Amino acid sequence: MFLAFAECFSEAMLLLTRQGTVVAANRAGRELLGGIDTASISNHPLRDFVSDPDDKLTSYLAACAESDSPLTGVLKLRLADSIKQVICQGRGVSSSANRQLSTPVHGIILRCLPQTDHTIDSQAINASLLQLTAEMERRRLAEHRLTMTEAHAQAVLDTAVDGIVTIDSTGIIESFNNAAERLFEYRADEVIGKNISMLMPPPYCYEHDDYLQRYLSTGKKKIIGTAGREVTGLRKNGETFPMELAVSDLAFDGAHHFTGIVRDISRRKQAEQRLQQRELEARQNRERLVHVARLSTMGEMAAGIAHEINQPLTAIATYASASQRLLNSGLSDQDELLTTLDKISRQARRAGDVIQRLRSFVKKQDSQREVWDLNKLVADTMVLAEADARLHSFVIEMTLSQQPLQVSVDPIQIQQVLLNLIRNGMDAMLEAEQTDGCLRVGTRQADHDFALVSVRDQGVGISTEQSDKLFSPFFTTKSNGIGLGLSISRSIINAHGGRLNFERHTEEKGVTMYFTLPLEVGNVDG
Amino acid sequence: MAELKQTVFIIDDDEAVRDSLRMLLRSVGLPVTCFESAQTFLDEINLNTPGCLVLDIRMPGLSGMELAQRMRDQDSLMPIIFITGHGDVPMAVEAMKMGALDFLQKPFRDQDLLDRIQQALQYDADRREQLTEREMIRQRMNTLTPRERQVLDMILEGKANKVIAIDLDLSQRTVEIHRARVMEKMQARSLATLVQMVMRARGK
Repeated sequence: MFLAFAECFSEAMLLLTRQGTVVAANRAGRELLGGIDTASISNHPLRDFVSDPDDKLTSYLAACAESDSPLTGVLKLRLADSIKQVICQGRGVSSSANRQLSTPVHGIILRCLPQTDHTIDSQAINASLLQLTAEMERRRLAEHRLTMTEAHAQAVLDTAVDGIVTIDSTGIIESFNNAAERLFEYRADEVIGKNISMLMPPPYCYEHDDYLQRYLSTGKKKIIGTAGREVTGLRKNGETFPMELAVSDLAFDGAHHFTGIVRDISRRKQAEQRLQQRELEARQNRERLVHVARLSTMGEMAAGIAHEINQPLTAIATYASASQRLLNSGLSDQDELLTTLDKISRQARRAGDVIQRLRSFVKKQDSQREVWDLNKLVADTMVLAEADARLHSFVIEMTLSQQPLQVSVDPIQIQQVLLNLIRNGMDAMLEAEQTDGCLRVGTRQADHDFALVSVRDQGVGISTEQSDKLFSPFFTTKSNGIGLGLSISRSIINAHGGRLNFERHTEEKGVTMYFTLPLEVGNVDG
Repeated sequence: MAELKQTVFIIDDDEAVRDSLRMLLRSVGLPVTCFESAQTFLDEINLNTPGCLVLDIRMPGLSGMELAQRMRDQDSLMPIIFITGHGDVPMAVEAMKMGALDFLQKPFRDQDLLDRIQQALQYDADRREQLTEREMIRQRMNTLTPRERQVLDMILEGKANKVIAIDLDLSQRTVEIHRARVMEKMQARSLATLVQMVMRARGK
């Protein structure tokens, strides 16, 4: 290191021990000392090569050894056969600042400006010396800083929480910090010098060299520069683990070096999985609850639905037996029988339709969003709702918006909410002993982004006291209610990005329950 | 007695049920008239029309039960067979209180309904016959003189002619003449027949 550095200078430079023994010399220095090779001058006292008539050398060197900054002296030295006046500049150095020096621990760097003639341009010398001194100092500081940085860097590497692994451009591991040792369960000396792919499970281990190659040839990045990719690591014991990897590319000395920072994320992954599991369970529980509420609604509506199915069944049975009798008595012709058969199949479809709706309504299924025209969804729901209404001699009046209202919803859940509101309305009207009551169901576009469905009853209404708790779970005003209907309905509507609320009437009795749903983008704008 | 023309009236709000019942009754040769609401039936039909009524309980507007109540209030004798898609015991009890002849749940066997209808028509016919007979007896009773009525009452009490003569301060012979006139006017061949006729006329 000293030599490589010193060879750059045209003036003679010598590295001496404090005692004045020559350790090394640059070319100019070797020439100064008589043109001999390095081996011949190393470990020989400087005095062997120079005579010192003024006997100043010893004291000058001693002064230099103690000096941190260059000390200039003019010495008359007998070099070879002639006496020359030499301007020297020396300072003490510490080997700790330079690892390349094994010995001496402390020494002197001496620069000599041989003057072949006796006239000295002292100004030129001074300028030159100043320049040299500055250069020496700069290098000394740079060296010091580099050393400090290296030491500091090593300390940082070893105390880092994340594993830090550096490789060269061919994938060979150059360094492996403590955290990396803990992570991969290899000691640094087991991996340094080996290919990084040993830390990867198949198939990645087979592909890594190609990645590197491709990156180096094309510059296409896969992981490099990204802020942490999830990859899989391979421990010494063959176990794999999820880790986050960030790679940076550092090119110096004309070669690429890659630094990988790895973090074990198995715990985080486990926590994420547990969280996902919990979310899934919560969602499943919610859906179970929604389903139970739906079944409960259906239970309440069973009477109406039984009636609704009995009507077509009665018609079918009666048509069939009437046809039989007419055939037996020869009173009927083929045309009438054909017409009757058509009527029978129409009634069968009518019954089947109710059952179909019922089945899809009570079916347990994962929530699925579909794009529906809200008007059609509301109209479909009326098949079930009207069965219930007829049972109580109520009329349902439906006012649908002119233009379609496209919404992305779980159709079954929206029907559930609507049926729930309709049933509540009818219960309120029964409580008010309102016979021949009318329930008004309507749809319209609420504003630019929302569709609105309203259910207006003529029932007992909602007191202020009740309204505070209306949407709370287990709050009910019905003797046989469980108090989940509105609470679940609201959660369904909220999950659809809408809102469910009510409005009292000032003029008439009863309330209007309504919910909104966000319109699909691209809905016909009215 | 003249042939009685009976009609089966059907009230059901369900068009298919109504239509199929119409066909069923036609198949057994019974005259049938259908209505889609209780109100139109009330508006259009005299409640004394011979026949019977097949009535759906659950209907919008005037319900089957309400119609039965109104018919009762108007002393209608038309027998009612209730049909319902969803019936329970309390409803059946109430229907019976309303004077229902029967209560059938949908879907029913056609033969069951036809049997009930036949029974209802028979019941109606019997009732009408009884009424006619009672009316006839009443008319005959109206031809009796006050004295003859007095004698009739005493005969019914089981009093002998002698006792009647003493009670009414008449001669026994006069009582015998009154008695013969009563038997003649009432067209009773025997004392037993006379007692039966008067009991029937008095609705006992």
